Amino acid sequence: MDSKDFISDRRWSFVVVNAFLLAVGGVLMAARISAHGWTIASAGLFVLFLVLQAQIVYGCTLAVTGWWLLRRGGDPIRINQTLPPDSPPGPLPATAIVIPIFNEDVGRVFQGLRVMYESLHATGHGGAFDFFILSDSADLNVWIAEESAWFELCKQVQGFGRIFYRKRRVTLHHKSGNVADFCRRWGTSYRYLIVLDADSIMTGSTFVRLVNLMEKHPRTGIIQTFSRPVLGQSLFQRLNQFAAHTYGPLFVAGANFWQLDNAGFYGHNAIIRVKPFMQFCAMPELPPSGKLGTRILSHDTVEAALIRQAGYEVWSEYDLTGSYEEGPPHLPASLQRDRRWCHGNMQHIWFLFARGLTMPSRVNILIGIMAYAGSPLWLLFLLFSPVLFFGGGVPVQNTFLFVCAMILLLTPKLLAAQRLISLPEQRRAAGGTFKIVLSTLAETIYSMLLAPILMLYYTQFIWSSFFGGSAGWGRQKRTDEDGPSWRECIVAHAAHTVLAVAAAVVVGWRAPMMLPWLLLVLFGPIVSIPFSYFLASNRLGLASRRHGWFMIPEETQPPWELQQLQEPFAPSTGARVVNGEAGEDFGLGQTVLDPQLNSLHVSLLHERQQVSLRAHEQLTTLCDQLLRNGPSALSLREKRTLLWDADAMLSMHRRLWGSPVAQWHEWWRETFQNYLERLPQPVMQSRNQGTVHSNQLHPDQATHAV
Amino acid sequence: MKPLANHPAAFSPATKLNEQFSPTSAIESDWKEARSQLKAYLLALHLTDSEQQERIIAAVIQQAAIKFAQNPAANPTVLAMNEFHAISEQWFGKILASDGRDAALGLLSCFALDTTRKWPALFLADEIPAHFQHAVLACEVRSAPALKVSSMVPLPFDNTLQDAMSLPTALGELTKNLSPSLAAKAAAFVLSAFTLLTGKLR
Repeated sequence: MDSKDFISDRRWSFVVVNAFLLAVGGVLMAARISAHGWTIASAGLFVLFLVLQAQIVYGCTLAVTGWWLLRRGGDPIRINQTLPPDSPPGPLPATAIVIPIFNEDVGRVFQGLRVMYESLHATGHGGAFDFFILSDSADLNVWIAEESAWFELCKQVQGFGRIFYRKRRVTLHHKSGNVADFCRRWGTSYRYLIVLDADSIMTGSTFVRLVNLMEKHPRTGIIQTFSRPVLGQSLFQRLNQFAAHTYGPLFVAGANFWQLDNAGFYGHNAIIRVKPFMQFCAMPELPPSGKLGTRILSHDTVEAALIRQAGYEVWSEYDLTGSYEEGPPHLPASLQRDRRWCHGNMQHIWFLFARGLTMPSRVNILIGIMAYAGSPLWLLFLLFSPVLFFGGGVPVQNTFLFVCAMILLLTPKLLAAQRLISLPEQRRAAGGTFKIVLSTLAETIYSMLLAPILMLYYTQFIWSSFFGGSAGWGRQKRTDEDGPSWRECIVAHAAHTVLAVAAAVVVGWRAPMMLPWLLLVLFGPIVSIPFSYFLASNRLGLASRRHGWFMIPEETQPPWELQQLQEPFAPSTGARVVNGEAGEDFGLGQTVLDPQLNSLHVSLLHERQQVSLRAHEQLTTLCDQLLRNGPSALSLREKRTLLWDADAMLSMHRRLWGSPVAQWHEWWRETFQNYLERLPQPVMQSRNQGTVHSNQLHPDQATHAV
Repeated sequence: MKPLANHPAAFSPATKLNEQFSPTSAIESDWKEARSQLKAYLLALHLTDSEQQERIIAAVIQQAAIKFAQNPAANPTVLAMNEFHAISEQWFGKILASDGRDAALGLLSCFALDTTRKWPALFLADEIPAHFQHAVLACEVRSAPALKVSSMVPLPFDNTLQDAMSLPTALGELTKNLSPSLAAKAAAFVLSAFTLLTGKLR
């Protein structure tokens, strides 16, 4: 890449432009306040203004820089530029593609895996890649469904020995712990690690390209791709994916301008050099600090900072296509994810002052913190303004300031729409100029309504991060066909609605002049209940698609991988648990009953080395209780204990089948009856068909890859 | 457990079996239930070929009947299923003898190969074709590659906030990488722009 001085000059030029724009805003605000005299309150307001203005200015500068670069055909300094698009890959080193999962939709995960596996093998380089499903699933049904789906997938694509499944008994440190556990066990067998999320999709050629780029740049530790959200059904998803496809390229190109070899890492859809990652990126425990906790929840930014500190580069590979993900289906699901991210980002405050990190890494960390910490500051700013007004201070409404702020906020959207319209192919894919303009306008109104709702929520999240308990690690909702009910929306947003209505009434009564300004902010929370409900609607989402609104190229010309992903994951034979079917103990029951699931489950469990007499007695008692009294007699923990024991599972299978049905507990009799109904019916075959001579069994036909 | 070859009535395709064999020494319904249970189990093993089912059921029931004669108090279903598991374990033992895998893994390999659907006549057959044995041996269902254990230890968390909680130290660390001259230039630029604009506005 380029010389250090050049990189440094770029960064400084970016800082200077930002500082200049910030200074302009600061001067305007200062002039306004000076006209009425400075007080402590107005000085506080001024400081808040500067912090918030810095955020807006940064966003706008990124977008303008990105637009300018993309107009010129892309940044000359970007990692993808260093390798011709058609350069043939040499022999590829061993690479592991890992997918950490936690109580996910099993069908979606394994269909995605099948698509990526087939896409990769179609490139002719599949032999260099191994896939790993790393499961931390706590739900017993999901666990069994995962095992079953893994076996079925391997059978169908002949992936034994290429697709692996690992279930952790102790789910220490969540996702980062899961990846670290993989590294400790198999990391040294691979030069690279491609980390995916459960909803990620990458094309085979993108996998190969990433490995090629890493091979070309031995000092690169991480390459992060720009994963585009796709396959949105609800209005919320379609609006977000339109925004990401339209505005996203400008922001990532702009970020690359100053980040260069110190880019961000989002924890998925990225390739990692395993050796330095293992050496430098194990997550430390944070010092005890109240509610923030000591275990890092958002590990990615920290990992990028640590690997950069060790001298390895981190690049954003933003112009490579073929990297996708799916967004949360509705606002409550998105907020659930944000709560965890917010808590994780607040923990990063420790790393702002960690010794030895590079300045761009600190800036990346700060940007991540401010993405959430900006919200309480905005709230303070909004609270400050009327208070000053009531107290005879300075009214902050200033048309010129407002126009400046709007220019900064809307410029990225305008430039992005202009860019989309100027590219004939993309314009057609997005439905033409008229639809792009309308979609951008609608998306702008949507963001204006959404922003204050998020502000209130993020403020709450920050409060709870520092004072109100852990964010936890719940299952991430990735699909929800029904969406939240009215009741759920009311529960989620009622408090904010009441707060906003009360604020509007008070301001209207005491300072009616300010009301029109504040309504811009208050309107979102006031209508948040119906807003959230209708955003979650798949019907509206699909209707908008039918009418050509918020279109993205992946909808008009979907690549093969995305087309295949929409097919259901269908087991060809055998597996009876695919998607965590109904019934609390369905997975446990099937694993005890079904010979295939039982032998699969038992084979995947590690053999116990030594079991104490007491433990053996306890297991025997649990087995007896389960068979005699049904699963309701056992606690979740006891059921999990049994499922983790190979001998217990095998012995229960034998005992259940080896005794008359009438002796079984009612639950087992019912489960067995249901099980029998699902079994294939016997068929008559001629004697000739039933006999196979050895020469009929061709090794290629029968032998799976090992 | 006795090896299959030494079993008093080891069955094989060559053995003439009465497929309608039905012991009369217990209550008929008990044996019917045993047959039914075996049949269900064979279906659960994906063996849908009714002719092959009968072949195996008859052989197992025959063995169970011998056991029943020795212990008339035993339940035929229990005896039949035990016999089935004994026979299948020995069969897998024979196939996987050189491999060290157990019956559960052998059964899993058979599921992976769809043995009971594709080659039902070979399932629990006395004569095992070499190609078939090779296929089962080659089809080792592994959930993970061989372990190559190594360490991944967190480096000590070196943090100025933790050490001193002193703002100057922390800010010093934060700005350590700033080039003084460039920082001064930038500050001067911003300051002059600020002064200029303030002057104009006033």
